[in-house]
Amino acid sequence: MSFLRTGLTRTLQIAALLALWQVVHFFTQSVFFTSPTEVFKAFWQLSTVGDMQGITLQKNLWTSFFRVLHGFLWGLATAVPLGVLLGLSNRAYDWLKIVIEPARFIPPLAWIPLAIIFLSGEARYAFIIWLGTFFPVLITTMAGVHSVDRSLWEVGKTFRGSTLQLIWKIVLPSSAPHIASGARLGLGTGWACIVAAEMIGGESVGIGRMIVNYGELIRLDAVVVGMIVIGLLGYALNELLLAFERYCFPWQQKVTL
Amino acid sequence: MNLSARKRLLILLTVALNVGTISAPSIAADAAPEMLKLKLGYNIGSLNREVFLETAFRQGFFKKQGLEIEDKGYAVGGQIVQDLVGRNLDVGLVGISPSLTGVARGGDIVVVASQVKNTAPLIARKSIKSMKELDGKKVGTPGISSIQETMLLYLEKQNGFKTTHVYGKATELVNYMEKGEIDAILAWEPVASQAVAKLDAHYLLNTAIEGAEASMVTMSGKMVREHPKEVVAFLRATRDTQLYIASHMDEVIAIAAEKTGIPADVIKNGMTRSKLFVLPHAINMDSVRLVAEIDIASGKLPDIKPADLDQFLRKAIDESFLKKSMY
Repeated sequence: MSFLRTGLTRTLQIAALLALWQVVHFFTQSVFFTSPTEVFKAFWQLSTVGDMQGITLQKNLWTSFFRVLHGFLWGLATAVPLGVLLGLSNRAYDWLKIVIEPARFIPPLAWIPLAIIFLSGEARYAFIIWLGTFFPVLITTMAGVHSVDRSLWEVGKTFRGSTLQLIWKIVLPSSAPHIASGARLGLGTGWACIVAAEMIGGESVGIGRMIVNYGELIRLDAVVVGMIVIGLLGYALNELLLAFERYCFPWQQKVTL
Repeated sequence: MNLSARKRLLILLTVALNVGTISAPSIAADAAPEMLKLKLGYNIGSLNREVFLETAFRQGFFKKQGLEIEDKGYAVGGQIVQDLVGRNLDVGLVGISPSLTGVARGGDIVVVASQVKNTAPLIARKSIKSMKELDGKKVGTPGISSIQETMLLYLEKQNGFKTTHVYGKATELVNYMEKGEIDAILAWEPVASQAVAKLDAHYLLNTAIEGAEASMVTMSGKMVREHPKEVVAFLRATRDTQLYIASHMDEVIAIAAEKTGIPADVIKNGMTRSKLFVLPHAINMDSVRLVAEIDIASGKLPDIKPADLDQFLRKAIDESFLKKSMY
């Protein structure tokens, strides 16, 4: 019943939003303020016929999705081990602080000129998304390691556990909720970076490229389709990761973002 | 937060907002009383800034006409049209194709003159000897809205080949070609002459259609309606600039070479092949019609029916200011 009620509420919310949008469109009377019906028509056209080169919305979406996934997984694979290391070793953090702290404030967009010169093809997109994912995961992993109960670590040492064993048996399980939250944040940033990454050029496929192309042609109905699709897919992935967190860390029920 | 802390925060916010307002005065307040300040957009890397505008500024052609120009660089013409339509620009030195797109989408903009013709060169790796050999290859253009994209569609249709279009900033296409990501480039000059000088590449065409329109003087509807005399004045300044460039070619190329870091002979090669900035401002309507037909067929102008083309072009183009500027 609760599931049905939630579903009904969500449907009503979306319907109200669409109705409000249509009303605002009616009163603004601007050719640039696209309406929900125009957006739906553009969605249908892009899904069934494709864009001007015949590339369908689905193909654009899957291409971008795999780019995000590629960069995101690289982000996780690099940020988690480094976060654990820096969380455990103040000396290592002191050594790398001068590089990491300024670097995390450099927006992924600022790296684009370097990415164009030094990287080719898919690696270029993966790098920009990796940048967007890496730092949120790194920071939350470090925070997670710092939050590990010190007494557990001491008990492990008393039982002559090696550092690797302590990390595997104590640090990682304890900081896993933090890492999962960081991954969720990182995935969000990764999606935010996809449009920027695909604006780089050098490719003709991708949801970000599609948005840029139709933006240039002032086809705002198709631009909005791209925006909605990115938002919905990002939302779905976020919900998936939240469900994963709830399942794996049921004591962390406060996690609702 | 106690009351005094809130007050302090409020005062800080008020001061910060006021500082922002004071330090960003309106454009009109900045300009001298008799000068009209215009915001102008141009494509980065097209020599519009380094040759055309630089010459006009150095020789004071705009000032002589009572105009002060605030110039802004854009990666691609579609973005210039976006800002013209959004009323963030008064004038755009922008391709015919994006200009027509802007009008077709209901944008309040008008094309008043030609600025540059040609500048749609096709270059390819030396292993590619003819256009037919481009079939199935990747060709870079400055963007889906660009006139160069339209010209690539035209060449494909005329010569019976099909390529994968790859979009990127014109200035970065050479880099993509160097890394093997694309096989050919159809972009503006001096991108082509740079690619040929730097890479193992050669010209397949100096320009897609000889004498076809490329970059136009496109103005916001507001500018045209509220400042018609200044529109004429602007066109007089552009004509003076054009005449100066034609008679001082080596001088302007030397300045452009210094500004861009591109060797003078490379700039000269590109400018000579496309006859940049020296052809008349009268609009080649045959080429405009052709561009519109290609754009309608490709879906770039989905709102225009072929039967309504004449009516659409009359709405998009107004040469009356250009005629007035000649007297």
